[in-house]
Amino acid sequence: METKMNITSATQGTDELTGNPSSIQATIDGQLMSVPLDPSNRHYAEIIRQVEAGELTIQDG
Amino acid sequence: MSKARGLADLGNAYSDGALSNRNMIINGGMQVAQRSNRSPGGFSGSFYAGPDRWLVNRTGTGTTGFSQVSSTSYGGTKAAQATFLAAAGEAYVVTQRIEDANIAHLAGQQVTLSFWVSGSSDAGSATLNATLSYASAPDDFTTETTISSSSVSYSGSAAYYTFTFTLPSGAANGVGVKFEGAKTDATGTFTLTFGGVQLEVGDTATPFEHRSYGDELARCQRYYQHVQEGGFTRIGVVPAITTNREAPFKFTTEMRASPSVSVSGGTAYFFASGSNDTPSSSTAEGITIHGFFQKSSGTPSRTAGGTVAMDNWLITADAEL
Repeated sequence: METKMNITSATQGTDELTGNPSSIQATIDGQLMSVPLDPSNRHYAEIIRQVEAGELTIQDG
Repeated sequence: MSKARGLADLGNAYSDGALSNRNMIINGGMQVAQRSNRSPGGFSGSFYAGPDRWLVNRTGTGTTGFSQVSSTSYGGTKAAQATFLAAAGEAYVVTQRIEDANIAHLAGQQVTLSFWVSGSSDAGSATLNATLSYASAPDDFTTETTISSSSVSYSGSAAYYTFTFTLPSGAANGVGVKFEGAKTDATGTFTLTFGGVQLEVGDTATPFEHRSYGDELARCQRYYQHVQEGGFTRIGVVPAITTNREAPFKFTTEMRASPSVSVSGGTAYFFASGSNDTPSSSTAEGITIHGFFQKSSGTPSRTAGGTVAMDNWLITADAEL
């Protein structure tokens, strides 16, 4: 059975220290979360899946 | 003591369930519930709630609840209870995903699953499947392969079941332990209650292994941490960028992976002036398996070096599979 997550927004953050992309600020099932760019994180993996499927766009921070 | 006597005593201890760390399931006794119970209503799809480590998933649009309940009929003092509202034909799965690091050593071996379960009447349907599956890649449960599935006919009274499975080599990627079925009645409420879930090596189910609350909590915190403090919690200092209040946070235990973090709190208090303000946003930066750096932004300018405290501070960190 497919595991469903309701992701309604995603915004790319920038690390103030390095200037590199840092966590994504995402609203998942109604909760605002900072999601690290880690493929082992299930939320990040689902964000990437939805972006590749054209179901979600990550906004610039 | 002779060697034969020692082995006999060891055998007796094993039969009595006295040997520790047999159970591959975390929170099988449903003791730990860091998240709030979730009542059905407005929720569909998959979620974690109530007892730690159990993922609830359901097809369709019917809403689902999941809660920790008190009962001595399921092998301990707590149990998990899933509540399904309409509609008919919608499948459900309640799963615990065991990460590869904790199960790889059992690939190729027999394991035995034991548990207590009961269910409410649902238009005559009183069966579910106890299923083991394995992940397609290490800790990647996007797609799973079923190892074996055994049917359970349950009633309104808690009953004990055991099943033995042989784990294939693919189980080294991680194993899902599932209770799955479908709601058959178009209306009404269907509840499924289970507990005392144990997965152990061998072809024999031993008595449920009771672990201390602290031990079980620490195991759960590898996957999820919920930190909530009432009143004021001193968390850091105002940095040179005086519209920010920043603070490092260390997790209680190392987490499985870099977690998703939510930060909330009522009011950010700035002690140097005795005044307070509400942050416009609180985010986590530099997230690792060990901790992160909290940054709360607000409009008022503060004096660098002042102490920052949060009122009703709440941190959640989610590294579940």
